[in-house]
Amino acid sequence: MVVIYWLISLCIIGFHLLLFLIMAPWLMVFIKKLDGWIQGISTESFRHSFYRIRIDLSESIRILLYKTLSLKDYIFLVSLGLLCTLALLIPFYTTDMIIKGNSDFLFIITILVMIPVFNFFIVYHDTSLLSFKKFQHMMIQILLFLPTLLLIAMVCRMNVKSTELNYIIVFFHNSTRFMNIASCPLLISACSLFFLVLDMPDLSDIIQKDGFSREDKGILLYINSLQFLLWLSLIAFLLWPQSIALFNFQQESLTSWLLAAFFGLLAWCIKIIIECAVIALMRNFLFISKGVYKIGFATVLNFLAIIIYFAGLSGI
Amino acid sequence: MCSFVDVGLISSRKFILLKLPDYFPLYASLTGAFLTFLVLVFHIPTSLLFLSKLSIIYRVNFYLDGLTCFFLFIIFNISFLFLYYQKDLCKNKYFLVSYILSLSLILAGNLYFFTIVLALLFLMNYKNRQRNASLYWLILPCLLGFMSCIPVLMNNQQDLFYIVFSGKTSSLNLNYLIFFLVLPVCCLLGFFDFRGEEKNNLHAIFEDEKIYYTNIFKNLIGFYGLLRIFISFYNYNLSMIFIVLFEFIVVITALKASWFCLKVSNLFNRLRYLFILNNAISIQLIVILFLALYLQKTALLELNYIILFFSLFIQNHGFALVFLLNSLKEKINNSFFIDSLFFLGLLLSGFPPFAGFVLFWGNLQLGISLILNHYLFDMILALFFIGCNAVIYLFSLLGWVNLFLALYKNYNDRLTAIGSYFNFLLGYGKGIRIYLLSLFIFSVCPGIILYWTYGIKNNFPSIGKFHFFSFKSEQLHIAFTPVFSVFIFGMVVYVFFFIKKKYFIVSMDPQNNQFKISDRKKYKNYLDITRFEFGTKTILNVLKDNFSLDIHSYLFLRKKTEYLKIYKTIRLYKKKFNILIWEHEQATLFILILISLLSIGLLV
Repeated sequence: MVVIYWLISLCIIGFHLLLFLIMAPWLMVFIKKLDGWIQGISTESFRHSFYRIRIDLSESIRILLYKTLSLKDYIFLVSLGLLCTLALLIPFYTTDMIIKGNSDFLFIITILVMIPVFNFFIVYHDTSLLSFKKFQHMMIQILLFLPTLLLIAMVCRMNVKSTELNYIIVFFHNSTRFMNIASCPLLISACSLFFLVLDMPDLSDIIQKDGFSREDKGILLYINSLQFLLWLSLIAFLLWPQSIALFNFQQESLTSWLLAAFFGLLAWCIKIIIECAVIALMRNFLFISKGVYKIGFATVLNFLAIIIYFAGLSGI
Repeated sequence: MCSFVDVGLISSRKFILLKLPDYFPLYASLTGAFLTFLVLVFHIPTSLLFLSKLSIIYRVNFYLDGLTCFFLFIIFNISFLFLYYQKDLCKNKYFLVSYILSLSLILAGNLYFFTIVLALLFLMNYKNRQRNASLYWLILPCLLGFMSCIPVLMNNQQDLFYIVFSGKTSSLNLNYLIFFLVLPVCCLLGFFDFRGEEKNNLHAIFEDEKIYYTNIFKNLIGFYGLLRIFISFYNYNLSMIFIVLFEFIVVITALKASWFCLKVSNLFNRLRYLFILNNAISIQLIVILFLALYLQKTALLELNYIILFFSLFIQNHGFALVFLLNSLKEKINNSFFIDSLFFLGLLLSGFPPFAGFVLFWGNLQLGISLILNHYLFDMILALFFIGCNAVIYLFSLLGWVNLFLALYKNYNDRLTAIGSYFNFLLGYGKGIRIYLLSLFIFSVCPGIILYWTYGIKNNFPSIGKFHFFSFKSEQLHIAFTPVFSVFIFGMVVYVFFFIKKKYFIVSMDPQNNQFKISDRKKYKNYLDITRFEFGTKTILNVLKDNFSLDIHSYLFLRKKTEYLKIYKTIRLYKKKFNILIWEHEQATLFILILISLLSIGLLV
């Protein structure tokens, strides 16, 4: 029984990671399609984009495996490793046995913020002033998210009594009375994350202007898309944590767990698609998406979440 | 680069027993470290020890405890590190006197003795030229007040010479005692040592470098003074205003230090400000401890103590090595110096799984979990706390990035060779490498340190379960395991390393040599002065670009014309506004009532 338990958990982890790695480049293609659809601009066909992604990925993998490592590749490797750890830590459709008591919200946030800091050190290789300025700008723009992110952590701690992602799922599965009081502020704080992710620093500007090789371009874009998918999945988690199935294989039967997991996977896919649509709409129709308003809106929404929590408490 | 110091264990052969009188402090600190290690590991009851009996015979009150042993162990270790790598310190009287004074303060069993040694330490650090020399006129009265509180503390029942820390006494006068101790402790931790305009004053820098060995001793004594009095005379009646004031001082100094990290161009000063910043954050933990006792939340205490002692152990050891390396930088190999500083930066900055991150994480988690009472005042305090800490974390990260930029500016090729730093077959700098690796192991497995602090647990009000690999409290639903993340990251990266060819060759030929930031000239003091600024100006510029907001125009309204413009516009709209109110009288009344009701509702 224990062996089967371990095997299934390992299968879950492997599928988690594979799904994450395969879905990432397609997300960017999908968002570009949506943008083109809204603006009325013709975009590249799916077959063309498929071939492009295949070529880019093969070349970028060739760097990591067969070439001698330079500083740039070293940084790519470290950032890829960090992103893969995060992919294991954020539950998409089920909870694993590995992440039990290890996936802390603050930990995930800090690693997500650290990745542009790592990318900043590419400057040592590429010593043009323009790239220095661009990378610096990108790094500080993401580091400025920190106050709002910590506020979201505070909202989690107040509502669900912990910042562990695993515990949040358990809380929503078990509790009956406090569920609606807790879910509403979490939803608002998830909506506040949209404002941050909306105008996320895009690496494509840097890549076009500077003299990166084709392989570097491919891997940089891949890292960017992975990062974006992680942010989106964090929002998806906070939007509806009940949809994620609990992995209680020893207590419940296998078929019921499989059904729940399938439902979780479906829900995750739908949530990501809806988020992409929302972000595309916000990019095109929201004219206050730049500047202080972006972070200001996010903080105000988080304050609102706290106030709503207190209002809910008074209703009991 | 002319004379290399042999930074390895092999050079210990030179120390033969004949040189014992010359290098007595070195051997003494080694034996002291060993003895305290034995006490900490085997949990020897302190009543069996020699020093506690001395107090009965000679009437000189010494006192040994789990807490004293823990602090003594750190001090012996650090002093051994200093004396081993810089042998001139064995004859330096300034260093030795401060060393002995700090030891005697930690061993002191009498509060009078305690205060006298504190006063002596302040006198040692007093400089006539110092800008904040007037601060000492405030500290000495504080110490006098502290001394005058002692007889009141014991209610005049006993003889004053027999005040011992062992009895867990509780009294109402603890408030005053800690109030008088806060200012000296803040001074010892370096909270008032900010000097802005010394970019070009090289003379001041060299003056400081003689003293920085004692920086860590001072810091440890400050922490010991607070913890000693808090643990042995614990009481639940500290006043709220005092706690909030203390928090305010600490947060302001942390913000100031984090801003100065970006501003300062000298390497040593930047390291010093980062040290002050980390001290301030670990003092915040003590403030949270006070608050937790005030709000009667004993569940917080356990995790708070664990994170505090863990951070005390690793940060003091880490920063000791940082200061030592900074002193040795002209004598040792440059690449070795840079690589070891890089790893120390990983350990002490807020990079996730390691010790610096644990400090920030614990501080934030405990700060947030204070507000579960759902009172308005607690929530406002927690919001203030979180906002300030977010800014501190941001600036500290930028400060460490700044440090790495300054280090690797001229040594672009060094970063790739970092992978082979912990290869022990390399001969050079073996001792420091082992020291650093052990610090990394301790930071990943905190249970080793927590096992040593078992002796202190006798003094604690409450302590729960023992977790070897994680920071965990089951009542608060908080958990963080640094081993786990390191393990997964290692697995993922090792897959690539396993497949690829096993040599590093760097192929770096920058295509455009016209717009180079770094100069590859290797001049002597290249580390002291950073060439391009990545400090205050860039952040202001980025803010301006990002937020379309000119800070100077909004915050500093220096021109009178702007006031006049505002006044004119108000005068113009005044007439129109009056007419509008006159026309829609009922609507305005209704809106006013609605706004007031809404605002009251929000406040309530």
